[in-house]
Amino acid sequence: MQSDFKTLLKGCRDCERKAQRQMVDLLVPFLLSVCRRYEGAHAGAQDLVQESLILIFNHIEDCQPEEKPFMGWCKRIAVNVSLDKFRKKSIPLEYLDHQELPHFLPPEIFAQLGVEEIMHALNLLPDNQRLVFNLFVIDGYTHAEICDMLHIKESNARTLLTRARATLQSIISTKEILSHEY
Amino acid sequence: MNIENFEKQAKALFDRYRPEAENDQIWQNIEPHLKRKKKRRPFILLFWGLALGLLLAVLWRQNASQNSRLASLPGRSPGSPELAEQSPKRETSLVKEPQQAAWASELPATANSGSTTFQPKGVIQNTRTVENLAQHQIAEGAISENDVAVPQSANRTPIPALALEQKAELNANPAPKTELKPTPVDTLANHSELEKKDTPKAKKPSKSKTKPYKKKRSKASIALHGGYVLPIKTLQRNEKAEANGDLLANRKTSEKTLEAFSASAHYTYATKKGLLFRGGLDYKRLNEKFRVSYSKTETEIVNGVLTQTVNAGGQVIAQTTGPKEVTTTTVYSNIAFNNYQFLNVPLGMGFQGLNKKSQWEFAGGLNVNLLFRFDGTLYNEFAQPVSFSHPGYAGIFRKNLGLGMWVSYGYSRYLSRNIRWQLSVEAEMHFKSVTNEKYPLVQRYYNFGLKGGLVFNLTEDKTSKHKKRK
Repeated sequence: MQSDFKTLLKGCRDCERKAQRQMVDLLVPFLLSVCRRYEGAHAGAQDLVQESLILIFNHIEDCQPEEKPFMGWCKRIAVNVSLDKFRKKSIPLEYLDHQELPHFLPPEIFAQLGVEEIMHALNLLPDNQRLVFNLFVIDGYTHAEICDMLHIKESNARTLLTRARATLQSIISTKEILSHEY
Repeated sequence: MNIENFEKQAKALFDRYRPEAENDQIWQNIEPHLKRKKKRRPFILLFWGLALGLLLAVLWRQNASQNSRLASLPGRSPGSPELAEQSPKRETSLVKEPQQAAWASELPATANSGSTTFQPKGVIQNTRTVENLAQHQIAEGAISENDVAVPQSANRTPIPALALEQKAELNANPAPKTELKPTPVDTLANHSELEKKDTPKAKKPSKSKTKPYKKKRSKASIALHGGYVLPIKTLQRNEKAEANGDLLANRKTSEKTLEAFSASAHYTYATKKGLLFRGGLDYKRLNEKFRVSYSKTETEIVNGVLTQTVNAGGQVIAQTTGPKEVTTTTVYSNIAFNNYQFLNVPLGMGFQGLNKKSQWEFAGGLNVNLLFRFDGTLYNEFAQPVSFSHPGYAGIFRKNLGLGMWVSYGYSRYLSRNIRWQLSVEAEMHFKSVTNEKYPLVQRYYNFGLKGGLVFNLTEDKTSKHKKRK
């Protein structure tokens, strides 16, 4: 399997269309799962995936030949492309107030949530909160890295994360998610 | 379940989450924006192969030229004295057959063996100078090795004054030098910020507003080039004119040195697909040095010693005198220094390829000659310089060569964002001969050049953007 991936990657590095087409089949679901968390609309997420794929294929000689680092590199590109889009929107990322919000929920509500429900709940978050929540919780970036990526202070990042958690609990507690039909 | 557990659950769910998408549609949208298959290596190898071949050809040609020039001098013959003089010499002999110049291989061979040659009492010098023509004229004596007394200075260096004068003449008539002046230009393609982000770890994102995936092909550029040109000259008999075989034979055997230098500036416009269009100005100067020789044989009756009787001690005890037939061979040898200047407008098209830090261009097209000029001396079939105002030679060189063709391959690398250095090899020719229909010879030049220079990018292509999904 690993050798197959290396062969595929080598074909992509040589700009062979057949290998690139196979790589598209491999990467699109993965990249779409990343982009959908940042861009709620499916069409918008697919645009981000396209941009990411163009970047990946045109700079594929820069990545490492192993599968795991390659997928991480691709994920990083998708995240960057998504952040670029938010930068263009000029979303305010600064929060000056530090409000403490209650965060408790009955456990059984969490257990009922699936991917689509969580995705929907994330999409109901404000853009800046969703960005920080995705970067920190799902993608595993540290606060320092998030500050560098978003050009904000670390305190602001923490505040946005706290607020995102609270808002998410609030959304879920209202059972708005559970009543949503998919 | 608290919020931390919820986050772990969400992370695990998203790690396994693989939504379906329309892969075919995505592929159709991104495929036009992907790089083409790399084919640069054959071009690079071809380029360096041509450059190396050209360099070797130049070295070989220069070496061969020097050897043949030195070998053609009479003083270079093994065991012979230095005979290079700057005026024609005439020698007399008792034999009826004309004597042959030792170095003039094109003349018929003579048989001096068996003839009684008397020691010349003095070499009759026949100095001929043509002052009204800018030429360098050297004539050499046609005296065979065995017939000449060794002078006191025979052991001097075999490089004669002739070679020194040739060098001095070349120095007085140097090829033009070109200065490459940088021109301020606009921007060129930057490389993607993602080139530096090859690890999934976070780094500071670039503030560049330009999307990295865009093609950064320079749309327009100006190149300034200069370099060496190896001209290949062809001489053919002109069937339309009254040809003289001696002139063609003399010219073909006497061509020794030919070199050329070129300076050019051209403007290139490239499309998104890599198609390029080029126009510019190209100045070329060919320096030509060749030797033209002509031998003249005269027979006259003079009074002299016919027979001698010597005793055992070597003393002359009797001799008879009377009229005798003396054959005189005079060899005139002229070294001519000419130069030809071309001013061309190359127009053409080709292809351009981009790599990360380099670029190649392959182009070809027509060469429109704006001006052709000849400076030098014209020789007739008797190796005699003739004036351009001579009725038979007026307007012998064209003033415009008309159309030609050229082809070139260039490889360049970025020095900075907007400037590249470039090496290029090129070949060019003109369809017409440089001489007109009346001249007995058809004279053409095929030029192979190795040039170096700078390319200044003027604009960059900002229109290439991937097709958005509808």
